[in-house]
Amino acid sequence: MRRRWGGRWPPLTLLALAASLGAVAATARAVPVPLPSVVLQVTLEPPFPTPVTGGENEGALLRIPTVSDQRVTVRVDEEGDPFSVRVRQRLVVRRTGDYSFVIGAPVDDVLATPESESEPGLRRGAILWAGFSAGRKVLSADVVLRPREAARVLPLRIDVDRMGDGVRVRLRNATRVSLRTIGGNARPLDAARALDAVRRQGARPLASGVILDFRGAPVATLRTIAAPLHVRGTLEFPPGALAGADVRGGVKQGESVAVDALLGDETPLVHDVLVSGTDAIPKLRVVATPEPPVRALEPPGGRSWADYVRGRKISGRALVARAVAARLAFARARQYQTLLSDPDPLGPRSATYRFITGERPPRATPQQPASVGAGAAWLPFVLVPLGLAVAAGLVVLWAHS
Amino acid sequence: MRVRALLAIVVSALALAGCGGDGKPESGGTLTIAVDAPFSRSPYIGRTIAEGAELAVAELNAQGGVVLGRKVYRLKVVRRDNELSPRRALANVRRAIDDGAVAILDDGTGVDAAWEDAERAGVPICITFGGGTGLVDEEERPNVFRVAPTDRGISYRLAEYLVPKGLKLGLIHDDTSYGEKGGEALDKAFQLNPEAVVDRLTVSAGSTDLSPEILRARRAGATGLVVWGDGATIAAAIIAARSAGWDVPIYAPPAAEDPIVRQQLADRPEWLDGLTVATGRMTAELGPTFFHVFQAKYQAAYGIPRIGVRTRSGKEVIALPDYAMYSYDCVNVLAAALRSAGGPGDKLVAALEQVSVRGSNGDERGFNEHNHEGVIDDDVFFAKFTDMRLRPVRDDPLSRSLPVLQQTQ
Repeated sequence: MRRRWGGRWPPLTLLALAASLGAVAATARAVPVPLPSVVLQVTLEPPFPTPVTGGENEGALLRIPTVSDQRVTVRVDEEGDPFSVRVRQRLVVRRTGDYSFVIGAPVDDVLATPESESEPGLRRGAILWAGFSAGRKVLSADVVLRPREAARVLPLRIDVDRMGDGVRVRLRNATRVSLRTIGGNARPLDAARALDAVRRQGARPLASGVILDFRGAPVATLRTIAAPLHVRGTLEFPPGALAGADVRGGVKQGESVAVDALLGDETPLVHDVLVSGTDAIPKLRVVATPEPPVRALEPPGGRSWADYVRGRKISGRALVARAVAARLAFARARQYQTLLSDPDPLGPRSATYRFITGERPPRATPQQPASVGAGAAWLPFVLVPLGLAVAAGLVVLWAHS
Repeated sequence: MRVRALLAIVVSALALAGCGGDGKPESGGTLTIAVDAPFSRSPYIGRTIAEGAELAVAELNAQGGVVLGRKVYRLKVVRRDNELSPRRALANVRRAIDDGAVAILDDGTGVDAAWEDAERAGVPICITFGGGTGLVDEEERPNVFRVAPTDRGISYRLAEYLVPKGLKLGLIHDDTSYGEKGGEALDKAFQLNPEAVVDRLTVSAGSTDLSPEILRARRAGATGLVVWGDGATIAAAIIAARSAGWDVPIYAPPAAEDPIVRQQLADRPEWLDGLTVATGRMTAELGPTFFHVFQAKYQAAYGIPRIGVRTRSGKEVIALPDYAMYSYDCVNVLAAALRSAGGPGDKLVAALEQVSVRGSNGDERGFNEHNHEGVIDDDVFFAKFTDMRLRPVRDDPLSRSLPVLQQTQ
């Protein structure tokens, strides 16, 4: 018997079509997109890039499992400008086998610390480590950096100013950066679950990542992010300078003012400590620690973001933006946890930046040039124009001869 | 008209200056590398150093030489025998400088005497055998470099390896410069563990019978011997101990790889079994391929380095060209530094601190501003003689990770 198609669709075909249309529609609505990785290098620095030296890194081995800890000590002058940057870099290699790697940095000098089980090498713009680890090896060095180049990538800027009848110490998170990243819309519950996953995974670089079903294609969005910076320390004033002084942005403790501020993570990136009633300039002892975002991921009431959005009218777009921003803040904080690179992009790392007021060393007075040398220095400036003038004269003469 | 002529000359000169040729570098001549080594007194060491250097030079020349600026230079190796005499070595270095050598490879004999002359001339010296502490000092001797295991590294690795075994050691060294420097390094390495050392002895190089000295160590309560001297001294110590029926474990520096040790013990191979040598590793973690490639090139150039002894199954034993590897690497680092510096002299010495090359064992070879040693202490491993061949020991983490290299034909 011949099947009649005519103008009538068989029920199964209709069902199949409906199903496929539904699938297309669903595909158009739900686009699974991985959120940015927490190991994303948002800007070129920090850490300082590794110079291309001809393959110091051991063979094809890209990752040497390592725990990295860095203590950066920045000496600043009375105005808060850095004039000395040193890093104590401590790496614990956690594998049996050879290691060989180069750490790029504007390095002036490097010296192994007493606990180091190997000696670092020094080249122009690089520190070298090579050797054999029998399962665990401590590589530790004090690195002296060229201050001008190193200061560019410090996470905290400090400005100390006299203002009216007092002093202002401004602490500014300098990790802020604008970048183009993904944005878009998602079902509020999907976005909330993604936020919960972002919160759960934290900064763990080896976690599986977070994938969010976007409604429609994601779009490029310009976003400003910063690594949250926890700044703690004291501003030490000369004896008696704080008598009768009024302090805002810190807590007066005897002859000093204690500061404890979070810059970023839903709080302002700038924190001012205002001390009125004194014109004394304090000595700073401040430690800045890049930290992963916490506040931005705390669900407002309720145990989770998923709980929070249930029964509420929440913008999916805003939740997506929050999740993306949080991932980028994790990445940015991780970036500042290595001023000097380490051989394990996925390993645990931590860093602190200690700012201490110090005596800026006097600038080296330029040597008075010897008479012959002085002559040699200005000679090109005279001879080159003179030569050009003579050449031009010769051309004119030739034309008229 | 005179003006026109003058201008014509100027224009011609400018035109000539602008015409640099067809871009192909012109020949700049030959750059000489002098090898100062004990060719007559320690032929194995002298020949090994020279052959490694000559192999590298042959390869560089086959690749077209070294291009410096717009000129290409061929390299050449000149051998000078120092007869293990510092005085002779100094004369060799001075002659090499007078002949325009761009660098000197040395076994270590002449460095103390000659480094200053070489420094004044802007000539780097690269040691490829002697590991003596003080030979290399980047502050005091900025023109001296080394690609060879250091005595310090070997001694510290020996201490690290032997102290946990609880052995009571007799430290024996001969009166050669190599032995004296080794003795000093051992003293420093064991100074934190004085309880591990029961006796220290200096023996005369060239003595054929060390029985009295070995007996003294035995009576002092030694349960292990470290013998630091040339190959003949090491062989004599083994013979003295074993012929007295003393099966004491013996440890030795890289000189134990000298074929003379195995030749002297060819008729009693079981006496050699168990001799442990501390020496520089020949393979990187990447595997033995790099070393095998180097070994094949070396054998293609100079033939199979037969030692003249056989295994118990009758196979011919061949020498491993590890010290040739060091001079080969040193020449390649020199070539890289020459290219970087653009020429010889002080700038070459400075450039040697800034370059690395892939060494013949797969490791990076190079120096830096804080260290003129091309073989780091970590690269010292231990191998035990078994049936005339060296096998990495299993009770040391680095050695355990290394493969057994082919040593028979």
